[in-house]
Amino acid sequence: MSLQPIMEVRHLVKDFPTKQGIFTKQYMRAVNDVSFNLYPGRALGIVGESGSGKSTSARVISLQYPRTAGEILFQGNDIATFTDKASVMAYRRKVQMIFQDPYGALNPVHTVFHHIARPLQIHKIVQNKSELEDKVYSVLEKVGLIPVEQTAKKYAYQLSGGQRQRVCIGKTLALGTEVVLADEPTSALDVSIRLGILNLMEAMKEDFNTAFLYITHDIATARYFTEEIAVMYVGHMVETGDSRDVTSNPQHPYTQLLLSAVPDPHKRGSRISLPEVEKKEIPTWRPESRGCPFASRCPHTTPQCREQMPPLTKLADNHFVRCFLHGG
Amino acid sequence: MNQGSSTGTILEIRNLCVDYLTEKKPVRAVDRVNLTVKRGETLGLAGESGCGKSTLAFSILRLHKPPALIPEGEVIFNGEDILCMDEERLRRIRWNDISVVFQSAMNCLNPVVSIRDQMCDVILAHRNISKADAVAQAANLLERVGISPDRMNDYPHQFSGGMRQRVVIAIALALDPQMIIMDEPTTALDVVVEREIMAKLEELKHQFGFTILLITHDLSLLGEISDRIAIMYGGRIVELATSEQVILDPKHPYTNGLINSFPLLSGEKKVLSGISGFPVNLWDPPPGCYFAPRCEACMDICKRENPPLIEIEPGRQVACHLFPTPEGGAE
Repeated sequence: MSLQPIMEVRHLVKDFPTKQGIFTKQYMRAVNDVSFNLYPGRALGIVGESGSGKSTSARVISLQYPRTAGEILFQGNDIATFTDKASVMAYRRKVQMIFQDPYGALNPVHTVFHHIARPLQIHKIVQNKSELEDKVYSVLEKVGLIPVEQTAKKYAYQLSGGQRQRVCIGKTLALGTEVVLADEPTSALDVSIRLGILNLMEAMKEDFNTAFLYITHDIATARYFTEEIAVMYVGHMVETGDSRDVTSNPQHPYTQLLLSAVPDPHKRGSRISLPEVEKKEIPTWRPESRGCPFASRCPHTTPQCREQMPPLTKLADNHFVRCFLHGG
Repeated sequence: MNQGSSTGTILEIRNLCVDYLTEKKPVRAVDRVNLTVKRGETLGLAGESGCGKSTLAFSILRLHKPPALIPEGEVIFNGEDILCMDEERLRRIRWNDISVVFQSAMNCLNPVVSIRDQMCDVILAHRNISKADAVAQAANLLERVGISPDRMNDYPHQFSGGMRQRVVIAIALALDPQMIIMDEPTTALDVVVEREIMAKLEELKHQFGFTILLITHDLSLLGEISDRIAIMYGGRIVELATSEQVILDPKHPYTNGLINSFPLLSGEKKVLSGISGFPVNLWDPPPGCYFAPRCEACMDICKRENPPLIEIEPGRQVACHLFPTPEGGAE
């Protein structure tokens, strides 16, 4: 790809302590050896079940958690070097997160105007009051919250879920954010509202060249909105590639399982049951764990899978899979 | 027991209304709903948040609480009106004949009581059997939903979300009900777990032959597993047909909009438009069809008159002025 990535994540690892004794400490590895790039004007979808490490990755990138190992480069600079307040502020302005629950993300005692104006004031983007008003109104218009003067006076409780999510997206627009980390931004919304939000984010890709990391468990919306999809399982990226390739030609047994589980009204009655996958609990990954994370449930497991982590194998120009069935 | 009508109808909802009383005026959450559930079928009820689908589910067994109130309507179960029953009769019907699995039901389990005791509680409250027999029955039920009976003495927190949901389904089945009402039973779960639970439910249905009323916003799921689908909007049923008809050939513009709101996993990637506007505000509903302000096919009559739910072909009902009554009643 000729594009220059705005964000590069290299071999990211994140451990959380689970048991802490006087002499012993036990860890669970939420994210293990995850690498991806984000490009301006493009979206990468991270798809996986609860506990697969999707949100943790985004939280590490947005400086909410320190990383355990790996590199995160923003415009070529490692974010670990951002130690002074000014550079952290500048980074936060450029890289913003939006969340699943727009109800929890807005302060109930403040108006919409305040929510858009506050980041503008904190980051000193506007000089005076009239400039502030102009900016807030133009942002509200861009995210489709019209009539702007009336919406600006409203409180969170007077808005629907979709409108609240638009306010949250408006905050990133106001700041001129270049990378949006969207953590399940549509899963709390109704189906008819969901598309409006996805189409709004699509417009941001085109109009403002925003890069998106779109985290979801809904692989169908990921296919709709993103150019690339990365499938995560227990902290590992098991398959990445062009979103059409990954959804139409899945190569990793887990991706195949995930896709076959998605309800499809056009395949009625033909396959109510899952492919032969061991219905075992999802394992907890620890730093000392070995083998392929999916080995305990995979129908193709060999002794090698239980001993060694499969390497990331290139299948096509932009399609990688971490499975011994494909080379390695 | 009275087996009700011979047509194979298990539950008939007639003209049911549910109001929420507020300080200013009552808000009608369920508006003159007529719905017949056939014995042994899986009937899906779909709609967006606030369309009244859960309120409807609650009111079938009179589980609604103030400020909700049922001003009119009948719910006929096996020939008896549930809304007129005395408390004792109602208590016997609940769980025994019709059981309910509520949204995020997996969080309804009591955290300080073992699974075994929670299951026995239900069985002993309705059946006159010894504790040992109840335990044996509970073990049997757990096995049916795919949970090892060895884990009976465990507490809810020791189970995953999917397993807890299966425990709840086992409890719902404990008294061998004729009908189960499920309100978003898998919404909080991952797709793979959802699929496992739905497959299990299908298998149990074949075994026991109960009827399912499945309420969800996920039309794709309903299209795959239910026999018929009813679509609700603003407290009214706007379309009722077989799953194939609803998914492949929807008649009501709202149903059409809902279906076009789901990105698909196959086929060409295309821009979907969804439904413009916002769901109807039941505080201040428009005079005619509730969907008229969002409808692309809106006509003058739609703004004035609410279209009745009519049968446009056998077994297929739509409430839309695009489909006038055969006798030319609408005009």
